[in-house]
This record gives sequence, structure tokens and C-alpha cells, in this order.
Amino acid sequence: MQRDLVIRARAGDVEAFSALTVDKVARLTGAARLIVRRDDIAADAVQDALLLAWVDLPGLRDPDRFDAWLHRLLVRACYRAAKHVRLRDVTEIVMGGGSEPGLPDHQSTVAMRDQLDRGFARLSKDHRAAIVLHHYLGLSLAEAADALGIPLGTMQSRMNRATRIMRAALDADERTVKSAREFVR
Amino acid sequence: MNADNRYDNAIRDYLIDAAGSPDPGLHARSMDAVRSRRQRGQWFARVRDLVARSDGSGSRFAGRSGSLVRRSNSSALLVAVPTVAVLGLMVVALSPRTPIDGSGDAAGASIASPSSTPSPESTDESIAPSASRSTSIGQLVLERDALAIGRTITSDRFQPPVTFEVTPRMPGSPTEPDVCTAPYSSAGMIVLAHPKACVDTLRLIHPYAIECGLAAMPAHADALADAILERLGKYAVDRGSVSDSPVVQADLFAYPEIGRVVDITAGRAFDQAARDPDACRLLTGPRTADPVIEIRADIPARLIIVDVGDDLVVVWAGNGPDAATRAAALSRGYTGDLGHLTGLVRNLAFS
Repeated sequence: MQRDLVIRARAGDVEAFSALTVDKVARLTGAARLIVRRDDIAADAVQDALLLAWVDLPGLRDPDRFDAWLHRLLVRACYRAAKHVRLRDVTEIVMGGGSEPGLPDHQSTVAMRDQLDRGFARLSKDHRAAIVLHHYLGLSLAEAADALGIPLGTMQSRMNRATRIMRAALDADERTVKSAREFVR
Repeated sequence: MNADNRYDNAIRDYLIDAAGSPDPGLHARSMDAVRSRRQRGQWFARVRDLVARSDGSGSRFAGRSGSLVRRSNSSALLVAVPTVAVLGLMVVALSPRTPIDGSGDAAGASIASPSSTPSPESTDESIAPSASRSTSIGQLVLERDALAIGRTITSDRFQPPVTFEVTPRMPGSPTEPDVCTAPYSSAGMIVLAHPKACVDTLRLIHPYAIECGLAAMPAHADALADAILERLGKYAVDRGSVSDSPVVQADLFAYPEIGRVVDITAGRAFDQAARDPDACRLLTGPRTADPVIEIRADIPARLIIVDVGDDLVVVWAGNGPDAATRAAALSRGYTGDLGHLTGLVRNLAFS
């Protein structure tokens, strides 16, 4: 089904391209947000990636590689967009509803998310892209390496470092909880 | 469920949560842009067909929409011209970088001062480089008044951006910082000196390059630590990872950092004439007044090597530059406590 759509889109069928991409936009947007960490910039990156995909689609030889190719275009678009983001831009966070503040489960969840957020924010864009492609988009390491245009070994190295930083954030959280408990005693 | 799966699931859940909700109008907006653009392949195919027809070899490409296996002379020319241009640009880009001030050779072997000792002059007044070494480029001397206890301090030159606090002088002066006057900062180095003779320094170093027998650049903290341990042998001690090392105080970093700690012990008598005796040094960039930092077995030091994204930052605590200055420091009650030097700052945070 997807293969047929790719072949039709490659031949210039705009509606086929629309049908091909409509279900992918949500995941692409999520991945872009994680990589560039700004909603508006992420939307621009997704739009750029889709436009470039349309323009260059006739050059795609293997229709079965459309997804990997689109992921590569997205990551490149994110990298380009990230260049325009100032270092000291403030990242807005949306304060949602949810469970009652003050409940232990809520607090621990918020604390864990906060720690992970700090760890994630400390990753370079290359490491963020690696971890997003693998853990968020569910690509294998080989597929993610292909999408990023890097050797598998480099991908493994980036994943290893990114995971270590994220785990260090979680471990720090556990240490904080432990030391707080010891202090209470 | 093992620990790996637990971590991976936590990270996956976080990513799904942080990715947020979809933008309902994005696909429609994107398609509007798509409808206004023609695909590249259509004109490319026409050019290709024209080239094929012009030399009568059109049949060669029949059925080969994606690959031009046998190029005609004219189509080869279309490829060759931009290729030559690209190769020319690559040659320029790959040429060895020579410092603009002409002080270094292609390999960077003599970048910066030949006296590669890692500390400036020993005076009670200043640790900034002398006037002859100072330039107006890439250098900033912080005001000491800015180093108030409890104030978050940064440098507008040092990269990657860093913030930290200074600790109070101990004992008895809780409002006075435990650093010497006139701290120095540049794009590659921040120098804070201990008030006792201003000889022993704590430095944040972002090396421009590293010469220590590393197999690949950019170097990671583990790779540099291993290289130092190999080069200095018994005079270097592995103090473990930054997060677990007993010699790193708990509040040195504001957030968990990844890296390694290596101590250089005072195992060999200081040889003032020797230049880079252990063939391991951190090079500073051209157009800076920063000294080259030699990692050598006759200068005790503690290196807290941290991976900051794709960059590497070394928190270097070490003794003074030469025997005379060290003797002066000793005569004033110098203790040589590297742990005390790393305690000059706290809550280091890179962004």
C-alpha cells in the first residue's frame, strides 16, 4: 500500500503524497520537538522536511526506503532549524492538569520527569537525534544510523553516551531521595 | 524486569510525554506548500533526456531512471565541473590550520607560549597574563567584585557557556571569596587562583586540541583519561568516574556529569628546562594568550575531565609554574591540597 503511494507520489501525484504523509506527521512533529526543543521551530522543520521530500522524491530509487529517507530529511531539517535557535532561548513548558499535587506518586513522577528533562536538555543535538530515532520512533540502531547518515558504530557510541547521561540523571534522583530519607531519620 | 529495561522504559515514557500532542493543522499547511512546488525530478529528467539525445546515446539510459551507469562525454562534463570545484574546496578546507599570529606550525606543536607551564606570574596582585602576553582578542578579565559569595558567575567568552559560584574563604571570612584577585577568562580558559601566593590555580579548560597520543578526535573524557594514564604511567592515578569519585566534592557540579578524574602525583623532580616531557598537553587556540597546559609527572595536578555534549572540558587544579614560584608559595604556607583547589568553586553547570 505504502509502496504504491510512494510510486504514485514519485510520479507527481500530490494526493498520493498527502495520503502517504498524513499519518506520519504526528510522529515526525514529536521527534522534531524532542530534537530542537521548540514547538514553533519543530513545526517549521517538519514542514521543510515534507516539502523537501516532495521536491526530491523522484530521486528516491527504492520506494521501500521512503520512511528512512524521510527521517533523514527530518533530522537535517531539525539541524538547520536548530542553528537559528539562540542558546539562551527560554524553553516554554506547558503546565497541564492531572492528579492532585502533593500526592507522593505525582511528586515522584514529576521529580523523575524533571531529572530526565535535565538530562535530555544536556544532550547535544546529535545525541538527542540518536535517542529520539531509537526510543521514540522505534527505529533499530542500524535504521537510525542510516537515517542519520552515520556508521553503525558511531550510532552505538552516541546511544551509549546519551543513555549514560539520561541514566545519570535518574541515578541522581535516586541518590537525592535516599539522602533525603537518611536526613529525615 | 532488569535495570536496563527499566531505564529504557523510563526514557521512552519520558520521550512520549515530552513530544506533546500533534499539531492538527500542520499537515494541511505542509500540503499547501507542497502543492505550490514542482518536483525536482521533472526538470532533471528533461535535462537528462536532452543530453542523451544530443549525443545520440539516449538508449543507454532507457530503463535506468535512477542510475547513470555509462555516461556520455557531455553528461560526464556536467558531473566533472562541479566535482572539480568541490574537490578544490575540500583541499582548501583540509589545509593545516596555522595560527593567525604565525606562532604555530601546521601540527600546532608550538602554539602559544613555549614556556608551556600552566600558571601565570606569581604575584599577590594578579594572576592575569603579563601585559606582553595580553591582547585584546578573546580575553576578558573579570572584575573581582563580581565574585561575591552566592552570586552565579559566568564568562561571556568561555565556551561552552558555564556558570558557577565561588566559595567563601575559610576560616573566618564568610563573605570573602577564596580566590585571588583578577580572575582571567578567555574563550578556552577560566583561571581562578588560590589567595596563598596566587600560584596554585583552578582552571576550566576547553582545549582547542589535544596532543596525548589519542587515536581519534574529538576526544571523549574516557579516552583522554586513558591516554594520560598510559603516558604518565605510575605517576598518574585513576580516581574513577566523576559521579562516583571520592575526590570530587558533592557540590562541585550542579547536575550529574559524565567524565573521569585523574590525579598526577608529584613523582618526579620538577625540570624547568624540560618541554612537554611526557608528550601530553592541552593546546589552546590561535589568537589567544592562554598558555599550553602540559600534563607532566613533575607538576602535581588533578584533572576532572567532563564530556559536555560533543565538547570536552577539563577542570584542572594544579600547582604553580616553576620552582622559584613554588618555593615562594611554600614559604607562605602553601599546602598543595588539590582537593582544596577544586573546592574554590561549586555548582558548576554547562549549557
